[in-house]
Amino acid sequence: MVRYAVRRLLLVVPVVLGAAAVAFALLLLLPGDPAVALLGQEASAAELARFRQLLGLDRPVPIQLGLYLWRIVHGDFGRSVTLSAPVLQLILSTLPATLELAISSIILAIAAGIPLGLLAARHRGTPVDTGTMLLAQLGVSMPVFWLGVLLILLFAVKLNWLPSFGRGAPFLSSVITADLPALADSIRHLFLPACTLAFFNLALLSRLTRWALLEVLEEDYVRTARAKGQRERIVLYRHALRNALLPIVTIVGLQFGNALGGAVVTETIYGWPGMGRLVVQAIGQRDFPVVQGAVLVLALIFSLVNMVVDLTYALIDPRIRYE
Amino acid sequence: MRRTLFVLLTAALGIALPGWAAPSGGTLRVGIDVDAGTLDPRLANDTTARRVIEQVYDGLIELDPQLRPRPALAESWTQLTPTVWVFKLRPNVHFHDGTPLTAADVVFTYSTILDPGLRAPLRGLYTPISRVEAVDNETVRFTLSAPYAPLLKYADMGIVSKAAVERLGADYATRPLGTGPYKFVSWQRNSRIVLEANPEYWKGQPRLNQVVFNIIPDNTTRSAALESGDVDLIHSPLSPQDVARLRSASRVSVTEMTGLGITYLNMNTVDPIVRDVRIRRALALLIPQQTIVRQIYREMDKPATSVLLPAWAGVFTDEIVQPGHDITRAKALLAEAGWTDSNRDGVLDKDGQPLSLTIRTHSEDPNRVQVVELLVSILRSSGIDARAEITEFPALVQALLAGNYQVALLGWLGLVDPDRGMYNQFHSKGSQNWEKYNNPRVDALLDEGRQKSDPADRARSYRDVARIIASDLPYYVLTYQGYIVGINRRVQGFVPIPNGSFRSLWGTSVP
Amino acid sequence: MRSSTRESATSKRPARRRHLTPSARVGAAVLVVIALAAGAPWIFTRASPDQVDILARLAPPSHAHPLGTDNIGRDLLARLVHGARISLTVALISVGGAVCIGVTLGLLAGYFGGWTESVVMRIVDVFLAFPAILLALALVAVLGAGVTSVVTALTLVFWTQYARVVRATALAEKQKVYVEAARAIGADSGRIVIRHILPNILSPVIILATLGMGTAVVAESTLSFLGMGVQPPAPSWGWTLAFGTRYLRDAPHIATFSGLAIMLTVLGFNLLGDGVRDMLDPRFRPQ
Repeated sequence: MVRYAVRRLLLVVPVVLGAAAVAFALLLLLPGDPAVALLGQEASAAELARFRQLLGLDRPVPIQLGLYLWRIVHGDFGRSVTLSAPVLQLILSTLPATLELAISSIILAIAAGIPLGLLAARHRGTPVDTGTMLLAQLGVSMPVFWLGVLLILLFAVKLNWLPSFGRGAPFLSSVITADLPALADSIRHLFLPACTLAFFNLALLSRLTRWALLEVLEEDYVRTARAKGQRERIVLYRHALRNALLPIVTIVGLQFGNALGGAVVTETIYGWPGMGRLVVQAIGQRDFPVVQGAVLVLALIFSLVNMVVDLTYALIDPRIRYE
Repeated sequence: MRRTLFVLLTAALGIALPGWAAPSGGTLRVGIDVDAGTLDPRLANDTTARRVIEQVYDGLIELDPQLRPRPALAESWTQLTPTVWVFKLRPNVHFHDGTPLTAADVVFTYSTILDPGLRAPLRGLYTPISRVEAVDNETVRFTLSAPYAPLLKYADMGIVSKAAVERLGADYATRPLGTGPYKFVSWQRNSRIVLEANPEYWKGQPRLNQVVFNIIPDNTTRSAALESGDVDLIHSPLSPQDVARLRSASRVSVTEMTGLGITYLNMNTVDPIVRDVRIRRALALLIPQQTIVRQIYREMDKPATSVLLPAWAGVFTDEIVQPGHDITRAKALLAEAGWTDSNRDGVLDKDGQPLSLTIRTHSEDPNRVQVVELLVSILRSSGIDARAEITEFPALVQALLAGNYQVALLGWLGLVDPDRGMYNQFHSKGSQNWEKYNNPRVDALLDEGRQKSDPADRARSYRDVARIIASDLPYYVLTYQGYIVGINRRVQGFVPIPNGSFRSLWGTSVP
Repeated sequence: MRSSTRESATSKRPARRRHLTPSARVGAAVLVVIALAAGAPWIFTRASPDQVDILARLAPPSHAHPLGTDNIGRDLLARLVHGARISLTVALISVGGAVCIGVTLGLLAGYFGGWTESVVMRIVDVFLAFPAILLALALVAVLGAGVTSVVTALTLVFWTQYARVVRATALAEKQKVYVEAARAIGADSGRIVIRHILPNILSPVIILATLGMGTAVVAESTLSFLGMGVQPPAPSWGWTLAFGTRYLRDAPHIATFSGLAIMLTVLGFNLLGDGVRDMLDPRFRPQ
């Protein structure tokens, strides 16, 4: 197991570097470059050429890629072209907002999705089941941005209960300092985007929970428990749920990756100052160092999460063999 | 008392608003569309940066609401010869770190802008300056390579602290330090920028304690935030439908004026099809300008008559006009140019080639996208095989630079002077003459406009250029962009200026 | 309550069904309607999706325009009906392309193993390391907006999941007795793959592909929503929705109906996909 873990960890390195190289290649192929984006329409062709030279964009591609990977390996992410700050600083200042959003959406999804799935499984075949699953089906079919827009329309525009943009005080720090007004502010801002982002995962999770439970309910030990005359409730919670949790846990891990990706759209809709928006803007402005750095960090998080999922899976289910 | 109550209520209900950590007292919350890229005045390239920089920095001059220069850091100035200007600095002005402002700071600011290594986006405006030098501690002399009338209007560039730049290096861009009415406090990327009053300000202490710039990219969200009281002030760019709603919002007062921007069609004069001036005229005749302004812009922007801006007092005249909307004449012109539907497929053709036109614009501006969609459908119904190509802004600029386009819809902003709006655009050596317009007469007139200092002479030159442009149509100017400010009625003392400047925040208060 | 759970306790293990479930039929019916709209739009409306009436822009539903008009005064019903073709085309081709690439590479990796497998799976890992929407966004930015670019980008984003599933299935099938027997009697690799392994990977691929169509419809509209999708004046649902959100307060019908069109189509694919799964392989669960 430990050997497997180490091997699995080592695999992350080429994947992340590969992702960096792919990102690099994609950026080179983009029409328009940082010189155009930064100097804008006010600059002359000569000034643009000079700027490209300064950025090293006039060098042969393999050399650019080599230099880039070399710097990355040494922890040098470079400076943003348009934002006058080191890339690492930009990433570190936006990552907490994204993590805050992604994690709270996952917690929401778990807190609502698993009970819903449980409810549906307990009442299998009844209108409760059908209703819950129909809702879940709608949930996985609803485009995230449409949901976001509808929520803004209802809660921010029509009812004016919640703010429709931006982030309040950082959640974690306001919890630590026990600053209640700041905490309230934080939650008010977080609520709509987190719900938007959670909805898809919530729906998926409730479906999975129901499936997993129903499957476990067919297993022999559950039948035995039933045959022993244990109450249905105890059978469901003590035996079935515990075992069904295993696949659910794995899915939650994968969903965290989804949530990070989904944050790109959600952050754009809600003006959430996270990494997703940073990258979308950077692509639009051809700020190559920022896109590269952010892709690298996202790829690293993705790969690590995938790794943890794989390891959890191997831990939970020893039958799984890795060749 | 009421203010204390409000603060208490806010805290109690947890309705903490952006800038929740504010000290009690006058805080102005501004809603703004993009984050700043940099807060170094020399490098600033976006409107947000300029709005923030206006508070943290002062220029040698500042522009009044009529866009006339008035003294700021420079107490006075004289033009010794057509090419030598001398500025006398205001005494006893200090940077926010307490160090005094000297001529060396001014020289440093301008000489670094002129250094290509700094990559100042507006460097092109200052290149006629051949030398900047300190005569003494309070006097700066600018020597020009040729007479350059617009210089004074560009002298509102924020003066940086030489010592701070040298101390902070690249970090100066994120920790700005100037002489302005407000001091920089904090900057949370893509979220907010916070400034606080500078009690030592040379004009006197500002009336606000704090100014918070909230970055709210979506136009509709931003205007909803003003309506609901989450922010106190927003300004252009705004969406027409939101402006229509703000006009009737009770909490909000809306000020509208023509700004310093145009939205125009750039027509490539070397494209095989568009090079024919009859095609360009036919296009202009096919554009339902009034309808576009009324329906898509909802009168937020105004129909343009020529390349002259109404804000250029003394230069503007509505007697110079571009071709109006006339479909019959457009069809006649197309036929005259040899384009007929000879194969009866519904598309005009000439020498076996269909009349194909691609109109480009950028995806960031939804109004332009809609105008292009509308134009494409109008051109199609007139027998032109029209297409839209909508890309992100950098891709559009790339295509313009490469001359790889036929017609493009885009805009210019901040045209404080006719030179700014015409020289580089139409001079055959102009750096933004993407349409490759080449007319020796126009070149000569534009050079004259630069060199003459008499306003009447300049006006004559620019009117002549505008008349030629309205006939040759390398540009078809669709609208004069409106400049719109929406402000909470409790805010007092804010004076909007067509160039979008927030200089009047110094005297603004929020009771 | 109790009795219903008991009922499930006595029911058999999930088994192949011979017919589609009722909900899957609903899904199929929805898709038939959407497909009709794509293939024969005139059944639903005679109005042209390109006819502009700028003076009637943002008009609410009326007799002349049953779903109202859009931001430049085109008939919204016509836009949405004709938009079905774009959404379905993008979904079919991009998923089809992804299946082709994924199945081929997955089979190669699963059957031959060794360095082929390592290379393929590392490529898969690299692709999976990007958030899908970012990758698609960057690809469209590179290729230039338009239907072809969107299809290409989505194909390149989607293929990895097929490669993964096919590899795993092929790996499992390879070790089964009948394959080893076939190999022992000297059947060549190509024959084994086509005759024995391919049929076994069909059901997971069909299930994934059905559900993937829904994802593709959402992805296309998300790209258009972010301004990077199909070029106007093509009546893309995502594009219509993107503009609908700008006029949410003046003309909510645009965002509502275009969003509904997207959601119904996706719902159709999801319901059908679930049904197909129950029919073909009740134990298979795509993630």
